Amino acid sequence: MMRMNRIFVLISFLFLLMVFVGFADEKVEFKASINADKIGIDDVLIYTLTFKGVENPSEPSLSDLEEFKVVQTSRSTEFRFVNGVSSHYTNFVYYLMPLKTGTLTIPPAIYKYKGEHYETEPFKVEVVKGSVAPRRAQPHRRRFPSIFDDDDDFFRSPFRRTQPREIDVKLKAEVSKRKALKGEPITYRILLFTRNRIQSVNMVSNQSFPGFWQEWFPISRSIDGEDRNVDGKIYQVFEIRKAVLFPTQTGSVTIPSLKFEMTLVVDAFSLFSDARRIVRATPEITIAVSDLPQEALGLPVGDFTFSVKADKKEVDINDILTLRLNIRARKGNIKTLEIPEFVTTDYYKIYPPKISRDTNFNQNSLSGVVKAEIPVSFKKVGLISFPALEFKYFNPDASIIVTLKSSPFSIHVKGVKEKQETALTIPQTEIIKKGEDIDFIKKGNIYDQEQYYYQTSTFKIVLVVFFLLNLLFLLKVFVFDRFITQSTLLKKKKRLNNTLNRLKKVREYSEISPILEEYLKEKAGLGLSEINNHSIEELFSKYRVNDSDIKIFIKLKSESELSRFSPQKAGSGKGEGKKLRNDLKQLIEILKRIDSRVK
Amino acid sequence: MRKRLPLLPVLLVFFITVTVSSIQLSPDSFQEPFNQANQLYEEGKYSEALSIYLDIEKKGAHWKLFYNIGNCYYKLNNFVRAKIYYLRAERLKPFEPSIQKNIEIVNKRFNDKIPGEKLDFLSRVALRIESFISLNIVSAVFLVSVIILNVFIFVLLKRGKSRFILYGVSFSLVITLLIFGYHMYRTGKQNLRNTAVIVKEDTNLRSGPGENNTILFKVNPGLKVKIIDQSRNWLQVSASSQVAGWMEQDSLERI
Repeated sequence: MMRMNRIFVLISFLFLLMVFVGFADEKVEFKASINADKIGIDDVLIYTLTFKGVENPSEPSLSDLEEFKVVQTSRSTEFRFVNGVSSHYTNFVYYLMPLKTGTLTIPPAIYKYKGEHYETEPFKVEVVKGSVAPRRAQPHRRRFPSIFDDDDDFFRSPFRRTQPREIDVKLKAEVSKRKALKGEPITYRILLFTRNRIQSVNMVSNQSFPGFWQEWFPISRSIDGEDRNVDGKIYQVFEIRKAVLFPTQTGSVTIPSLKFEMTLVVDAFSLFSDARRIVRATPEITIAVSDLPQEALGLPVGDFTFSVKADKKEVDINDILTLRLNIRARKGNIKTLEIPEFVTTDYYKIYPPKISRDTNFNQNSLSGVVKAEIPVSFKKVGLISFPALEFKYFNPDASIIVTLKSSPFSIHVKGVKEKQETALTIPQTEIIKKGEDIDFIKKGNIYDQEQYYYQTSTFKIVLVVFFLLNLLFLLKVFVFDRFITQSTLLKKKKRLNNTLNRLKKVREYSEISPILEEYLKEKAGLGLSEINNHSIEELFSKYRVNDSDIKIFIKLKSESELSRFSPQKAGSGKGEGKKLRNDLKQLIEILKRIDSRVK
Repeated sequence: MRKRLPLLPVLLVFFITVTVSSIQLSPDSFQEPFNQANQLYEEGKYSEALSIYLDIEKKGAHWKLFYNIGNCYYKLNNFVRAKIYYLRAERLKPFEPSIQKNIEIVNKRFNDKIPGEKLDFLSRVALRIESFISLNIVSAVFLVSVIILNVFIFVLLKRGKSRFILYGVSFSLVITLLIFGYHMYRTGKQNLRNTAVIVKEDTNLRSGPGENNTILFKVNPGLKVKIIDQSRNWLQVSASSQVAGWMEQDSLERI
C-alpha cells in the first residue's frame, strides 16, 4: 500500500513538473479569426480572439468595432499537449451582428501584456441582404416552440440559449398595400416578434373589421417561425394570423387594433417551468380606399377567368340540360360575386341555378371558384343556340375593365314534348288561387303535449330507486358475497344463527341431536365418529364452559339420541310438547354461552 | 313450510303502479275554453277566439291549439304569426296534412322564396318515427325496460344462474341501453329548439356578430331559419345552403 502511494505521488510530481516546464518555455501569442468572410445581414459572425501563453488574460476591448454589434461573448480555456510540451490557450468568442450591408471591417484587437503590445490582424467581411447560412434542414425556420419541445437545435447558438430576463414580445401588423380600390384584395398579416419562448397565443378581440369583407386564413396546427434581426437583436418571428381584406367603403378605413393573450414559458430550463400570461395588441392601420373608376362601378375587382359548358350536346325535349358556369378567381372576392344569367326564351326555360363557392387559401393569396349549375328545359325541338355570356371585372393591377365572353353553343333537341311546362315560379298576384283557403280549425280533446314524463319528479325518483337497487345488487355480489361473508367473524355468527334457527324449528326431540352434532362438527372440527359425551365434556372444559351448561348440553343431546331410537318415549302428549319447548329455550341460551367461550 | 312474500317483487309492482298513475295525463282544465274558442272561431269572431286560445297556451301546448291560433292569425291577416304557430303545431305533429297545407298557403304571402333544405332519407324516417311514438311513450317504455332488467337481476341473485335468466338479463340490458340512447336523443332534440321565424322588417344578415359587419342579405319577416350559433345577443342563422349570416336575437322568434 505504501508502495502504491509512493508511485502515485511520484507520478503527480512528474506531471506537475512537466506542466511547469511547459509553461516556462511557452511563447505569448495573440490571434484573431472569423468563421466566414461573407455573411447575410440576418446571420451572426463568430469572431474569436485566442491567447496563448497568457495566464488568465482579461477580456480584450472591442471599442473600435463600429459596424457590428456584440450580441454575446463567451470565454474558454484549454491545455494542448504537443510533443510533450503543454500550451495554455484562452479563447474569447464574440458573436457579432452586422449593422448594415456592404463590406464591413473588423479593426485589429489590441492587447498589452507585461509591457508588450500585441495586435491582431484586421478582417473585411462582406455583408449581403438576408442570410447566406447553409439551410441545413432550415435551421432558421422553426416550428412554434412548445414547453414540451425536446429540441436542442433550437438553442444551437449561445445567444438563444440564454433567454432575456425581461419580456421582449411585440406584435406587428402588415398590409400588402396602404392605398387600395374598393373591393381590391389586401393581405393583412399579424406577426409576432419574440425573444421569449411562447407556449400559446390566443386572439381575444373580435376579429371583425368594419368597412371590410374579411376572409381569414385557417390557423395551422403549428406555426413556422424565422429569425430576424431588429436593431441588433435577434427575434423569432411568427405569422400568427393572416386575412385577405376587401374594402367595402371608400375613404380612410381603419383596421382596428387586435388584442392577443400569450402564455410565455418564463423559465424554460427549470424542471418545473413557469408560465406567464401577457397581452399584446397590434397597431391600428389606416387604408386609403378610393372608389372604382366611374365606368367600373359595381364590377367585381380582381383577376378572374370565366367559362360556360353544357353537359350534353344532344338532349331529349323532355330532359333537363345542365349548364355549368365557372368563374375562377386568381385574385378577388368570390363570396360577393354575382354570376351572369341566361334569359328564358321561347325555345328554352332557365331555372334558378345551384351555386357553390369554394375558397382556396394558398401560401400568400386567396383564390376560389364559383360554380353554378343551371337547369334548362326545352320548349321546342331542333338546333337551339345559347348566346355568349359576358362577365366583366375590374383589374386593379392594370387599372382596366376586362370583359370575358363565353363561347356561344348549340344543343340539338329532339323528341316530342309530353306535357306542358309547369311554372316553378309564379307571379305574386297569381299565388293565392281563387277560393283557396287554409284548412279549418281542429276540434276534439286537447292536453298538454309538452308535459313530459321524464321531467316529472316521480320519473326521476323511480329511476334513482332502480339505479340504487342495481347498485345494491352489485354491492351484494361483488362486495358482500365476496368479502364480508367470507370473514371469520361473520362465518362464526352465521354458524350460530343457523344452528339457533334450526333449533327454533325443532318439533321433536330426535331432531336436536343431528343439529348439535353438525354444530360441533363445524365449530370444533370434530368428525362425526369423534363426537361423544366424553369428547364434548373435554372440549367444553378446555374452554372453561360452565359445568352445569356442559351437563345440560350432554343430557339434552343424549335424550335426543335416545328418542331417535324409541320415538314413542318422547315428543308425545301435551306435557311433552311443553317440556320440549322449555328444553329448547334452555338449550339455545346454553348454546349462546358455549359459542362465546369456544374458539 | 310457510312461504314469505318476496319483498322486491312487491316493491316493483308498487313502483310501477305509482309511476303509471302519476305520469298519466290528467284531463286539463283547458278543454272547456278550447271548445268555447272553437265556437267563436266558427262564428267568425277571430279576435275573441284568439284571445282565449292564447290564454290556454299559457297553461299548456297542443298541436291543435297552435294550429287554431295560426288560423286565427291568418284570418286576421297576421301571416308572420300565423306561420310561427303553424310551425309550432308542426313541431308537435310532424307530417300532419292540414298543417302542411296551411304552411304552404301562408308561405305564399311572403316575399322571400328561399326553398328550405330538404331532409335526407334517414332524417325523414326518424321524424316519421317521432310522429308515431311520442316522447312520453319512449319514457314509459324506458322505465318499464329498467324495471324488467331489475327483476331479471333480482331473480338471478335469488335463484342463481340459469340459461333463461342469463338470456333475460343480457337481452333486457341491451334493450334498456338502446331505449336509453333513443330517449337521450329525443330529450336532447326536445330541448334544442333551433328553428325560428324572422319577425322584424328589413332584417339584415351580416358576415359576423355585430353592427359593424358587412350586410350579406336582407331578409323579410316570415322566413324560416335554422339557428346555428350564438354570440351574445347575435345569432348565426341559415335559411338555405346559400343564405346564412348573423342577425340580432330580437329579429326572430323561436318555434
